[in-house]
Amino acid sequence: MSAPQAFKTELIELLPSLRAFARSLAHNAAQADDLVQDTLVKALANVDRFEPGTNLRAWLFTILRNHYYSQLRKSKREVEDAEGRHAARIAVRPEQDGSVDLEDFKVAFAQLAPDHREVLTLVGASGCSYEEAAAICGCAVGTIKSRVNRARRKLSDILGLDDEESGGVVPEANLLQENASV
Amino acid sequence: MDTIVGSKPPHSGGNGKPPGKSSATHKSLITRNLKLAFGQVTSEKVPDRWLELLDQLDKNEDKKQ
Repeated sequence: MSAPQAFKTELIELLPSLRAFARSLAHNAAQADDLVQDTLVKALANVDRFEPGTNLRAWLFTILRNHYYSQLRKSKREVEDAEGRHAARIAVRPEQDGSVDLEDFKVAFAQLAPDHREVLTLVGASGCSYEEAAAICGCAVGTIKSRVNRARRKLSDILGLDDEESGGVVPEANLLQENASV
Repeated sequence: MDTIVGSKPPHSGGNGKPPGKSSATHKSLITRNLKLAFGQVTSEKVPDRWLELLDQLDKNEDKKQ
């Protein structure tokens, strides 16, 4: 397989997780897909800068992240889409048994600051190491670790999880729910 | 599923307790839900327009040769 072909194959494999990362930042599915599209355009324009054998996922996630924050700075607002405003008005609380409905979880997650959403997605969901997340976010590993802890605490707080609560079992039916926005 | 609209959650710093470290249970719950939500998105079909965009790689390579 030629180098460009290998690059393309790996890139295609990474598209779903790139999309999920975009969704965690943008909330809105359409905006997230546009973010991925823009990232692909930038990646293709700069493909010569990518060193084969290095971490393509980190490279793509970094491009997407930089583009997202660049757009955010330009717009001077933090996700003012209807979903975001709606989410901000809704507080959630856990079920009696300490479990959390997945849709409630997403609403709570959407209320986190972008830097908290991104570290939780990178480390907690996409399987990035702390080192990889630090490279993507352009900060120290220690910063990522403390940010993850703060993000988890904040999320627990929004979800109204008490220290004494146990559980965490998400009903099986939630596995079938669609239209996720991480 | 319970949601409270327009009110603060019962444990948002107003209960007198310091913001303690997330318990292992909470960490596990959060991680599991994160993975579920992430998995939902990754299982969605990738738009054709992205794949078409990537076909440019082949075209560019053809031009070089």
